[in-house]
Amino acid sequence: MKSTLLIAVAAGAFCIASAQAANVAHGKALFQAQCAACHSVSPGQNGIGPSLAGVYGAKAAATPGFQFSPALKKSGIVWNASTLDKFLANPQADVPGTKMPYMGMANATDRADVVAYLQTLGK
Amino acid sequence: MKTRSHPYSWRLAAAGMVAAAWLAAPRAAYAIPAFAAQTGEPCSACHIGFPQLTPYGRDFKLEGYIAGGTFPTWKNFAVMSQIGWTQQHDKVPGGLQPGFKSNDAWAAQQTSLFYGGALDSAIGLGAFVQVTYDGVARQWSWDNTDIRLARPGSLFGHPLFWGITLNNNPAVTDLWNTPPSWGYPYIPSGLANAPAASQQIASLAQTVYGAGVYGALNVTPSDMIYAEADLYKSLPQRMGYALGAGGGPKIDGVAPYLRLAFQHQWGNSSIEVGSYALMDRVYPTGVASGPTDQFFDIAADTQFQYITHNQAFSVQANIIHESQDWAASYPLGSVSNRADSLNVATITLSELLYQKFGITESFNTIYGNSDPVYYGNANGKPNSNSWTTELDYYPFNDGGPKWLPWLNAKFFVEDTVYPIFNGLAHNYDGQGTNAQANDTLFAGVWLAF
Repeated sequence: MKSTLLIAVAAGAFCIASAQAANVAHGKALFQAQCAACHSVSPGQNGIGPSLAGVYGAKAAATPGFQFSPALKKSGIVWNASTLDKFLANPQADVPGTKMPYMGMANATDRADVVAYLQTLGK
Repeated sequence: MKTRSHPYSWRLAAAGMVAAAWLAAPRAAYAIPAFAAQTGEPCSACHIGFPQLTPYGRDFKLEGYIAGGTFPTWKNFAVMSQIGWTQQHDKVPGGLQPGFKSNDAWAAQQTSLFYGGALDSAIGLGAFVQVTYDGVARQWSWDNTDIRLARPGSLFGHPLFWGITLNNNPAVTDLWNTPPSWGYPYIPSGLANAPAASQQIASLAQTVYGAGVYGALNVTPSDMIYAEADLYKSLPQRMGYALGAGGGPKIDGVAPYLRLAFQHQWGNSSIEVGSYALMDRVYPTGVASGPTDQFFDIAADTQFQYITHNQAFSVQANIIHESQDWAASYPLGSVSNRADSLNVATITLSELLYQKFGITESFNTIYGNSDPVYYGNANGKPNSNSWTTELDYYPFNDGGPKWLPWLNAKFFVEDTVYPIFNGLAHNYDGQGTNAQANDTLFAGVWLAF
């Protein structure tokens, strides 16, 4: 009985881990397709957009060496799952005047996957 | 009959390119004119050379020119000047244009003042406004103007950007570099001869004012459908002359313009296919009432771009068919036929390396049916073919020099040859002039600061 329970718990944990890994992988693919043209994930490498290394948990408009819009500087946003989800859904609606002219990611699951990927990026 | 001149002076043209070398080395990306100053991005973020737009540049325009801005500041004002030297194969006795030499002539052909950027970013209000001094005609006029209110939204669960535009030129609002408003050639010589035939959609620029609505729908993250509808009216006569746009075609009522385009993006590539159309009823020259002629322009266009860190490749193809119904001009004896057609097609290939070295090759053809009274040339046809080769050098695409960090410049050499001009290759005017007489070498600099 105990061993059966242990196997069931282990199998459940494996499924959850697999699902999370799949989310990150899908999020990375979406990032490559939609975001990588402007954003690097390497620290200190700003391009048209700022580097997103370490973005999760950071204050908005804080990346050194990049000229952010006045709107994003004033926003006071700290990037977490909720604030990233809202911004990615419609950047201009969330922060009018942001420099990011991206029309938004409509699918909530896609946004969650991208956020999961961003969460893995170190500083 | 035009007399023959000596062959093209490549040494002079090359000297113009070499002159760029003395300018100080560029520094890191800085605030450069108007939109660049507002966003803090270099010109290369939004443009391939200029004025061709990248995907980032198209998004910036689509969303109302407001990205990175709040309210107007001095940084939203910019100045541009085009200074060039023109040599035609045959000189023109009396001057290439009034007040200029018969050949090998310099002209500061255009100097413009711009406002570009946010007017109130919180409500999505932005503008592109241009005022120009024409150094050949020696007069001021209003130029391309596009004031828009852009709003984010959604339609059937998909992201939508929609807006309202007030503008003065059909297709000035366009996101792609295919319609005449923003298509190649980007900087033709203001002194050189050009084919006589023209279509309404190009002729109405700045002689009209209009309003429209547009929307861009992301049906998938990679696929966008763009649609626009505008209505235009001719400027009142006094206002037209006051704005430097007097004497243009006079439209009866309103002229509708429609645009539909589909864009697919993948990796570093994008492709657009679309169509646009314009219809207007125009009074014959010198008449302000009574019967009108009717024109219908319909076009098909496509654009492909492949942009990486070190290079940008693009292809544009555009064809416009115009149906001409001479209901007013035919009874007046101004044309030979009751109806005519006129077609203009252009294909352009460009490559830009390291944001500095560009080459462009473009073929343009104008063709239509014969109308001897209307065209007044030897065979009565509007036909012209031209090949244009352009070499460009952009020293400051990623940032200006220390002493003027917001400067950008394009040094260019542009060679146009006409296998056919105004109907024929030889003796097109009945006085012995050949198409080759109009072949043009044009070199100079396009400055923006």
